[in-house]
Amino acid sequence: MQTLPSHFSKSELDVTKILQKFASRAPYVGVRWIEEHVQERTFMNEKSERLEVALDRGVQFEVAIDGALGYAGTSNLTDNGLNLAFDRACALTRTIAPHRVLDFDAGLRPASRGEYRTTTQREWAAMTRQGLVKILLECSEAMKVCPEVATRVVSAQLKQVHSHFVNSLGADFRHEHWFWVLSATAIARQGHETQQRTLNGGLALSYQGGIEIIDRLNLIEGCKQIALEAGQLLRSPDCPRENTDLILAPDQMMLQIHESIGHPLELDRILGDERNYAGWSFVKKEDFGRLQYGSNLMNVTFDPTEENEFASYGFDDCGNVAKKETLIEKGLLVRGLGSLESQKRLGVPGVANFRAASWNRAPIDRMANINLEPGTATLASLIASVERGILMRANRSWSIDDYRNKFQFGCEWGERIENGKIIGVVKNPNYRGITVDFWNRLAGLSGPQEVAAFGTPFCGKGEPNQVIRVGHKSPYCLFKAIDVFGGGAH
Amino acid sequence: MNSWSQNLESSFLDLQKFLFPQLLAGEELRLWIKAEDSTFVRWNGGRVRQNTTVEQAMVGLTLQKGLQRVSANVSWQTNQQYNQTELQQALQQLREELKWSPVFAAESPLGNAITSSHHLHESVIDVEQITQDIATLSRELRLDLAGVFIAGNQAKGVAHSLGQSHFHSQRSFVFDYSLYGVNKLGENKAVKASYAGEQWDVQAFLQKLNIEAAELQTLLREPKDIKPGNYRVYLAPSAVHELAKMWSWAGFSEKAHRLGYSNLSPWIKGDKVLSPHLQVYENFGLEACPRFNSLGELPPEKLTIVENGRVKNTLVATSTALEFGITSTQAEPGEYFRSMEIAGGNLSKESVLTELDQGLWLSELHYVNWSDQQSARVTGMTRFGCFWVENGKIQAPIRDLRFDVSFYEVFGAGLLGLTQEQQLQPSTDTYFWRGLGAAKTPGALIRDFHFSL
Repeated sequence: MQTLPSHFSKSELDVTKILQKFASRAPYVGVRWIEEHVQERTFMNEKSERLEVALDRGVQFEVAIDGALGYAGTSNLTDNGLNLAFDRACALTRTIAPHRVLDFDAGLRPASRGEYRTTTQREWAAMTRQGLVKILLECSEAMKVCPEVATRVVSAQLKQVHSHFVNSLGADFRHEHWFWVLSATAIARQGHETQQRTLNGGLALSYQGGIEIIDRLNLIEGCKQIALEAGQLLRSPDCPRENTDLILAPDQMMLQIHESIGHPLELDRILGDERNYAGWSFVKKEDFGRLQYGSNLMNVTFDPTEENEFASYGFDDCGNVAKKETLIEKGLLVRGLGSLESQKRLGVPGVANFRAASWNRAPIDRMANINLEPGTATLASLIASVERGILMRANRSWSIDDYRNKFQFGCEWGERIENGKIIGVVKNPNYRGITVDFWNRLAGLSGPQEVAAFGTPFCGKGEPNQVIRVGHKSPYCLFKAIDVFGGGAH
Repeated sequence: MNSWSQNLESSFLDLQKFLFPQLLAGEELRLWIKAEDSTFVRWNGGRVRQNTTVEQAMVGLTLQKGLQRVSANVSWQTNQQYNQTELQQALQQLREELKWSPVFAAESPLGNAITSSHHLHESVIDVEQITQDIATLSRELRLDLAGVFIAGNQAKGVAHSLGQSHFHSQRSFVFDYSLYGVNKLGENKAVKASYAGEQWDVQAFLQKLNIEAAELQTLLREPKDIKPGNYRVYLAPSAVHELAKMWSWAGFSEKAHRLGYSNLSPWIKGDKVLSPHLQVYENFGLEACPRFNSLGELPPEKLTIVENGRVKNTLVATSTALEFGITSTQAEPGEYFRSMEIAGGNLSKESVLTELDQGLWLSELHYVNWSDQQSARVTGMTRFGCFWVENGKIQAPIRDLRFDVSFYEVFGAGLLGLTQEQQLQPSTDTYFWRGLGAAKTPGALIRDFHFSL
């Protein structure tokens, strides 16, 4: 019997030794080692669809030359490979130095030392690969509960990531992350129509942790439910087109927070670094401490310390210690999502979020866990307070402009509310709005008992492009007078 | 042939010689390699924001025995002994996994043993000189320039124990950038551009910058507010490409169609017929990526997907073909376009403004996503150089608008014409690795393009 997670033996390059070798050849040198062990299993209708294991190893050099900073990454870990990478980092940095945006500042590289390890209650080694496959196949079988469900897809990705960073200023810190990405999809068909339900939308079941994550999620019951719901959607009317009250479940709030709070608050976007690709931001430097981003019920935090949330860590990639910070307090914007470098460039407070996707990309400002703090209501009381409205769950579609203003999001599941009661299911629900106006329509949040955390491994930005892990925790939220629509209407 | 690609191809061949003889009865092995040696220089405000070089290589093995198949991907070193040890270990692990792994729906057998080797565009790219050129021209022309310059080698190879063997390498650059200005109301405006090729020509780049800087001046005129509603629009080639990219996302995939999650099923089934102006191909004649797919199969050089508005073929991977008893078009297992071409039409570039007469000129679209599956509706935003046109003349820039349109409408009765000229748009995708591939699209004149916000 083979246990999770790895098919390959773990190895570790001695970055301290590498640093000793190169430290005297540049005014500043940092060395980062990253090793990723991945296994991914996907089943469609109980047949294998993808069965893949991967081992990715690499080193990244960070050097300061002639006052400028530069990077080189290599997967070629031979002496020659490392020499070549270091020399190329120095040569390119020397070339660009006269044209640099930012002077290297040793003060922006705290000499942090320490170790972060994902909190686990049951180590992955407690489960066999066969055991994991059995659970996934049981999930798939559970979706047979609905006859209209013709396609059942289940998948699990496990990724164990080790990293170690040292630099010539004394930093020395390690991370050991254990990531889960779980998903299940039920596709129901009737005539020309298909409807799809997933467990909380796409890859939202993204967490850090051990085997206990699977136990907590109650996957088999969840799979039965989404299969029944996919069938029910086929028999339901389209979401009406109207301006009405909207309750969003945590598995849609995740996307709402991500796109309309997380990205616009990234300081590198405000600085224009991203404007050729991911986009700029409607938020300006002078908005910090002044902009009423949302109603006074809105409290948003950056929290890379949450146990089991997908984007928790101990230090960002420049060595800044990760800690919880408030971004929006009672609706007022108070802090941005920017690293020490961006804070210096823009002159506003930020967080520990200088993060690279891996050894082959330079760190930039990223979200980590961006959470909306709970309120005091219950979902039942939010529904009871609505005379006419729609409740939506599970993200299906997302689009927002490059300044993060005008958005249109779609969900898998909708329920119509009239006179404080759910009166039926609606399919193809969408809504649209403009960020600050939308958040100022926030009129209620459920309490800590009805909060859920989700994540995604695919937050994209950067040139060259980088995808990174993010997490978002939210209560149920009520927004007043929002444009909703569904189906072929727009 | 440069030494980087030569060494890589030779190591890949050695690895095949090492691993294939180790296979046991009934086992088949597919090997692939992908590698890049790239430089990325990121610009903001005409200055360098970040600079990174990346040398990376990965080798993949897929071991197949009957209907069982498992894959492993492993980082590649220049130390061949290390590679052999690591890959031999991976092969052993895959054998263990095969003993109990669930079966696949279909196997992917390969046909005849075809081999190919291509080394394209191997001229030297002087990153140091190019960096100086970009910085100097930005300063002299007083340009607020942002973007990324990418250059270097890329390679892909695939080989199979049944005899297939392919290798492709190329060296190229792409500078993906935009120029910015602020109008009298304090609003940011920008022109999007790119310069790609094998040999940097500073004079050609200067000429482009001058044209784009003049376009930026037009964008800085007082903007016109456009209310939501239906408008006649001209979509420039890159905007057409942005919409057509959606056809690779649960679009023309045969598997997605058969399993019910394609967004284009009524079109694929023939229930919808779009404009006779519309011809769509998967065309490897664009020479933007290797013709062989990741299985080592050679798809047709040019496959017609849409002919006179009707779907003639879909993208069919061999595994899908076997699962459903149909013919493969040797698409990638993900069944997406690698080298899409939309044929040009009858509109001359010079007549576009006159034919548009009154409406919107849209240079770029942004963040397009499916909005409704049944009606093949997509939503997204206008971005960069977009203008209001009246009496066949550009009158004013506009502020960004959200659109929500159905392919069946805008490329159906709403498609008034396509330009004769097509534009080649090389991939600028750099997620994980530098992308290969391109699309060639014309501009499109469309009536009743719906804007919702």
